[in-house]
Amino acid sequence: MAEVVSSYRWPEGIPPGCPPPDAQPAAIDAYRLVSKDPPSDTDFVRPIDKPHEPAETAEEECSLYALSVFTDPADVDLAQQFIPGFKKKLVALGHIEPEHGVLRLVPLSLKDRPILHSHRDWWVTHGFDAKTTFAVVTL
Amino acid sequence: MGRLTINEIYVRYDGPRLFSCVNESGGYFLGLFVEEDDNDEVFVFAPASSDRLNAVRSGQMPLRHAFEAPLDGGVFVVRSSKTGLETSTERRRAGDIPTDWLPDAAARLNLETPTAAPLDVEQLEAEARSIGRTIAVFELDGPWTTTEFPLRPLGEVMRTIQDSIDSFAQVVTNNQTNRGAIQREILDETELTFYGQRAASFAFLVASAPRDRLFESDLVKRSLSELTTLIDAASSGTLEETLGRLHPRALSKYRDLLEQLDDLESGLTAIVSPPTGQGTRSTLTLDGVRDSLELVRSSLGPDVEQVTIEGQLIGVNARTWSFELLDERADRRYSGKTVDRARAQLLGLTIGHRYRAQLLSETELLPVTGEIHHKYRLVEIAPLHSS
Repeated sequence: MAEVVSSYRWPEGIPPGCPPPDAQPAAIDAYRLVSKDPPSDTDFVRPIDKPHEPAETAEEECSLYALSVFTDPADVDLAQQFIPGFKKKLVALGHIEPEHGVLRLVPLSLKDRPILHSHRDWWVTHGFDAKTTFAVVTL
Repeated sequence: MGRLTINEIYVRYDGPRLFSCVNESGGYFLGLFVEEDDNDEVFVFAPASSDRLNAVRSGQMPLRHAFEAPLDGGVFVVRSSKTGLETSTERRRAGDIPTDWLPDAAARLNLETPTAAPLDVEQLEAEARSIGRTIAVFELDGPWTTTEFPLRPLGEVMRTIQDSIDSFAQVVTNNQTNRGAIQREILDETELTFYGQRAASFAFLVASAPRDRLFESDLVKRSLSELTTLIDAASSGTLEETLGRLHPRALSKYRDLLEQLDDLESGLTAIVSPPTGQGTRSTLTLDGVRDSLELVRSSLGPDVEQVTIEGQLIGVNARTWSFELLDERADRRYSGKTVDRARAQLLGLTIGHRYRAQLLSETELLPVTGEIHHKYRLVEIAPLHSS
């Protein structure tokens, strides 16, 4: 796996040390909230490519270069309960392969029950068109 | 609103989606992503005091309420361009925002939210030296995310700690009695006061009672050390031997404390900071509580026995896990708490129906008179087929 990681090419401008070492390749199904069916380029714009506030830490800065995905469909439902802006979004399911980039688990941990426990940051490799692996599904 | 800085992010998905932020004047806001179109993303910001923020992040208050009923009745709607840096801000009455901009009614955060000063052991040790009194901390696993604890069980735990310390003082001064009141001179020396509360998850502080003297007797410290020795013995495998030093009164008080912890499903950490010498910290996990309880009961020998009764169920309280049964033939009532493993059996029972119950019968010394009475814990209950 280490060989795969070292062979990645990341998009231009990504800061040194990003993605972090604990982000790992995975073959995994993932859910992404999208606005278009089929998903379009605008559904896969990284936070760094949108207007944003400057990050306060290197870790936050690095996460701006990643896309968010959930790996548990129950988290999609929970996220829509919490965040009204997600209610009108469509849900797309995709299969991420190791060559598509690296992922890091960034859960929202609550006391009694873990919610949004499957949220992951996904750093997509240079040249991979993320929308091609996702299709809108009904949960 | 002024210039905002993010204080804490609760939900992040391609950037902050639910977060708290603070402006230059120290005013807090809860920010929430509510809508987007091809050009803009829309966020609603609800002003929040730090108390309101604690209520939301601890889960005491539903998230929706913070946006539906902000403290000053208004929210700010911020529309920010996806392509440029243009933003527009509009103040609206909370009642005027569309309902589909609100989180679901059931959505609650449930984050650990300390609402008391954090526990600082070094500071506590310095304080004990400074005031010349022993300070002890008892840390419990609280049921809530805030630094709060239900009053009734907390009162019971506090009382049992005092009773235990009094009886341990009999051990360290070699003045053991199993009946009657504890010697006045011991009670005078071991009296504890409630001294404060800390976040850790819930910790209460006690101190030796203030007295008109420069140096406190070391009896409080030595008696508290008996307690920490018992706690430590549970993890070092020497509890049985340590319990052998205790007389029945001290054993039954320690059993009462362990039962209260068992009922609360809480472990216990005790930190003792004397005015002179080294402080100690001892921790009993919930498993340790249950293992210790078994050993203490067997050390009490004939004072603890299991009895089977058949009778009518008179009452059940599923909140406090208490029960009351009437053995009609003997015209005798049995009431008490239900042990953890029998609680599921208690749910769904019918008042007035007859049941067969296994009870743990334990002798208890009344703290003031030293009189003995029996207390019961329900271990198992099943319907009688004839009922």
